[in-house]
Amino acid sequence: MSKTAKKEGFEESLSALEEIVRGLEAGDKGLEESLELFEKGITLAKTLSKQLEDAKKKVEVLTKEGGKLSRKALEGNDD
Amino acid sequence: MNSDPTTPRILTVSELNSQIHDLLENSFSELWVEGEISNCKSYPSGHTYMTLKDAGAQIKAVLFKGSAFRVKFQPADGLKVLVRGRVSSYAPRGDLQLILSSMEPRDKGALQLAFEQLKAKLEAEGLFAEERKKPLPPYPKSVGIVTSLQGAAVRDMLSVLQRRWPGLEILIYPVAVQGEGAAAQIAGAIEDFNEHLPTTDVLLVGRGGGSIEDLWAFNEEIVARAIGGSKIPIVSCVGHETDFTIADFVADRRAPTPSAAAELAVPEKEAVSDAVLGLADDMESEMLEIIRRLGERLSRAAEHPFLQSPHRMYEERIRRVDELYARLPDAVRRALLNAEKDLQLQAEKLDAISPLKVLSRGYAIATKSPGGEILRKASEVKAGDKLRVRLHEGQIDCEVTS
Repeated sequence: MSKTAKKEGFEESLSALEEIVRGLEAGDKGLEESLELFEKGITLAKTLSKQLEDAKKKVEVLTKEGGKLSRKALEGNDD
Repeated sequence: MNSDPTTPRILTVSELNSQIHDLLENSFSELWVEGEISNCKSYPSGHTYMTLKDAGAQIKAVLFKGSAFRVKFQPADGLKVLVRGRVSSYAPRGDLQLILSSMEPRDKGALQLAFEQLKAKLEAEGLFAEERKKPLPPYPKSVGIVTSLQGAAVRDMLSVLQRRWPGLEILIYPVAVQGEGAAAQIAGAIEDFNEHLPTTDVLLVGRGGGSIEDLWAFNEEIVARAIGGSKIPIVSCVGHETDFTIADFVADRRAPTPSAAAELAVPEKEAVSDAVLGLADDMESEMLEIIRRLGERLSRAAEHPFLQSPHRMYEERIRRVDELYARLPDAVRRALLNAEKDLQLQAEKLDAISPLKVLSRGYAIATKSPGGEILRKASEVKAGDKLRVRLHEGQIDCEVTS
């Protein structure tokens, strides 16, 4: 599971970005606060795009032995 | 033993029943009977007892556990069935009964009936209820697949998942999807995911197309229960578009094919990427709008008369000070006048009790001339003393003569 940590929070980051856009749309914030939000939003958008690009495929097959599940990579799945 | 052929042979009841039993078993060892089920009762032992009847007759029948597994549907009162079996007797009671080895519904296929029965039962339990359906996570990190490693289904799912949503962790739990034990394997895999890999975001459970017999495992109660009990959302995909299984009704989402299930499970990278860029664009234009609005406010403020010609602010103040100044003497005068009136009033009061007022009526005050003591008795002076007499107006100095 730890190998997927990089992907963790994609949904949260996307929600945060949407929230920022809504916040800016409301137009009730001062210049400084707006700029701060904007900067945060740009960082989020970059991270999100990067996550989409960098993603590595991973397919594993589960087998159960003695009540325990083990994984091994799927053979012939190199595309 | 009596060897006389004319003498009837006496049997015990047990012997009779045993002979009947043997006769029946030999003569009616394999037959097909058509009838309607009534008085049907299943026991926890797995045996099902019933009566088969037609308009004019009835016979007891039993479906023992050992044969019951072959009957996919639930025998029930009123069902017209075609049964296969043998006639036997229950020696302790001499009862006659049909021992069934299989049973087919008369009006429809056995599997069709089984399907309808289980569907009705689970529906009544609320297992298909809309409010039980779990939403699929929009951006899953990990997807589990419960299907056979053979066949096109797993390949289709993998290719769609990987194309649409890279970076996904895909865990395949291989199971038999048809034949003996398939249902138990499918149910077990779903349970294992929930128990050992609960962070899996969504499960795809299904197989490619086939006959109703091939797809049967997905119509078994054990699979329906496993899907219904899963905390991980499940997308079912069994067979082709037109195939509906019990699993499809219980699953959180039903997909017509394995590929479609994969499409339901994950978003498309391009679309999400576009959405992110779209949000960034929105944000940028909002920011520009905010700056434009702030700029507008700034220029509105700058256009204000005070900022345009600041001395006006002072003109205004000066005018106000002048006005106050102009009003000041008036106010002071009024105050002084009031004070004067007050004073006069007080003076008049004092005047009323003044001794000078008494003098004005003709009285006089005499005082000794040096010393100034006021005289009240004639004896206080002698001839030759000088007096001063004070009148209302003025005073007289005079001398005592007697």
